[in-house]
Amino acid sequence: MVSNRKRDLMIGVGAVVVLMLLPLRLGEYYLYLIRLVGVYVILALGLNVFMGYAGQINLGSAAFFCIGAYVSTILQIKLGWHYLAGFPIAIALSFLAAWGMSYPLLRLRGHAMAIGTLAFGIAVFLVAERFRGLTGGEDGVVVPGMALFGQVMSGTFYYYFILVFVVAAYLFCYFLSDSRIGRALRAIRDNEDAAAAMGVDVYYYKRLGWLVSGVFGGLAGTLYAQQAGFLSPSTFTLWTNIIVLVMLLVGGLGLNLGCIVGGTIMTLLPHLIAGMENYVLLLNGLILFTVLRFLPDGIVGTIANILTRRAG
Amino acid sequence: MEAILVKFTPIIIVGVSLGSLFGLVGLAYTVIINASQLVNFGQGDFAMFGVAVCWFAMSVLGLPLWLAFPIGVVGGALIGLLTEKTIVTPLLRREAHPFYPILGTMAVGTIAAGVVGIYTGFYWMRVDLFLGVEPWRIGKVPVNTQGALIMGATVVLVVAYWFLLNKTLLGAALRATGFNREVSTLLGIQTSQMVRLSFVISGVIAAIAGVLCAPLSAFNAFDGLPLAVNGFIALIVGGWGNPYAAVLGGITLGLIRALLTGYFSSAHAELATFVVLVLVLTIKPEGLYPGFMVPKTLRE
Repeated sequence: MVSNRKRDLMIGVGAVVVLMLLPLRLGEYYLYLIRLVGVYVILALGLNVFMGYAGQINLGSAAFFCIGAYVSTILQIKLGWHYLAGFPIAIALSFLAAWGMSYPLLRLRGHAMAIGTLAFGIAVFLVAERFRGLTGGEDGVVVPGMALFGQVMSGTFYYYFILVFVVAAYLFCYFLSDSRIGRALRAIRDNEDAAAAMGVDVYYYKRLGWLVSGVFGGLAGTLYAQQAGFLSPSTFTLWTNIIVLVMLLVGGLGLNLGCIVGGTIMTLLPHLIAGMENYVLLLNGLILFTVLRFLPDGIVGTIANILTRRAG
Repeated sequence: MEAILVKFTPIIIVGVSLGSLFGLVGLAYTVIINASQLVNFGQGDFAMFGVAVCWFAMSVLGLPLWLAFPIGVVGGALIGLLTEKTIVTPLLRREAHPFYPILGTMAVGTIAAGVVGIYTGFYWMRVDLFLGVEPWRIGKVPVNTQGALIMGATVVLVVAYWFLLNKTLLGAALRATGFNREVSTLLGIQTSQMVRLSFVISGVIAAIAGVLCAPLSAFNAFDGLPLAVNGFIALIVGGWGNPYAAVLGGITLGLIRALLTGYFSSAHAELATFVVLVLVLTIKPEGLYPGFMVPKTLRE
């Protein structure tokens, strides 16, 4: 896609203004849906840096999501901390987990990396589900609301809170993709050996991409827990990993805008066909199949291709 | 002494039969890896589909088990063929990034799970124990009949696959296709047929594994994925692309799980599976038994 900073800026500011005005018109349910979309967009943006830019495989992205969500919640419940104090700790711990796991996992390639990250994701899920004393187990826990200046915060507050982080995360990825780091990551994706020969420190950049996806996952997790007000391990199952992956593919792997489009579609889908939960699995499968078979560049990628062809 | 024997032996038997089950799924993966170096993430759903067909034949058509079992196996073969036809070969032909075909297999598996789930309402697909609930007794030690069947099936299938792979011309063609596709095509091997055949064989093995394990748990449409994950872990722990090593890896895992479940808790056992996997990946990425039963000339 031709990059055009001025056009992007105008569209971006327009979108943010619309999003800021939405709470005036929409009810709590719709705000909840948009908050949910925001959370998953952050998760997808992070995974996109590792999978889309660097071309690696991470089937355990829900692990960081889970760590972020539980750390801030446990700090609030067990130690009585304020959410805003637990928030940076949650992100820091996701960072530490990503950093620690980067040593065994990033040495792997291809299928071994896929199963290694998948195992990490399942292991974190099992800890959340089975260790009742720490996490409340399968029944889940109620996340205490946050009070600020003596007032308990409402859904609208979380809406703006999440919006700030979605915009920040998007800007981060927007500038990252054109930077030296973004180019290095894409060089690794296209040909690891050639990138190394050109002087790209492959492991350094892979680890950087992995850490970004870990921190974004932790951020998404803690935001998710706080805005939902309730936390149970069922949010972080194996399927979550797959759904986030499908988000990337539906939007277009490696495209930041694709994360927003894919994240929106895949998050809203189960709510759009509410009452027919049994069909969600089949629809997910059909969407993944269609995208892989007929739209390899995803929705955003395909539209961009058509536009560039028409323009020149 | 006898008390220890009576408590300890069943744990070992459970471990070996559970491990054989993982090993069978690992074997199903290996068949496809041998012929195309692809990982089939829909493997568990092949097994699930086999169970679903078998359950359908029994509960809706009213067929007896000995007839429904082969029908379920045919169902597994069909879904293997379908996966290969609809997405693997088209994506291979397009020469997309290697993980696209892998995700493609997952897509077909998810669709299968979705269809079966809608039909059954994600409810238990009941298949009764093949030989009744009463365990066999060897002395005072009870032996679970279903576990014994799984172990027997594993031995038979591994030997059969070993024979096919190493003693027949077809097996040589399969191995050659996985080793180097271009050269195999030049030598006159119909490589696309070989890939197709590997998917069918893999579907058959997965369906057998699925139907054999269905009576042991309340098997529903979601249960393919855990089976696939455990089978894949068995494969990685045993050794990549080596059918016998995958089974040995499965048995190793099964024993670890059974011993931990018996003496600690099932939560620790499941977690241990993943810890073992990460340890193996870190310390011995080629697997614990990478060269087991592989002729010396074929080792890299």
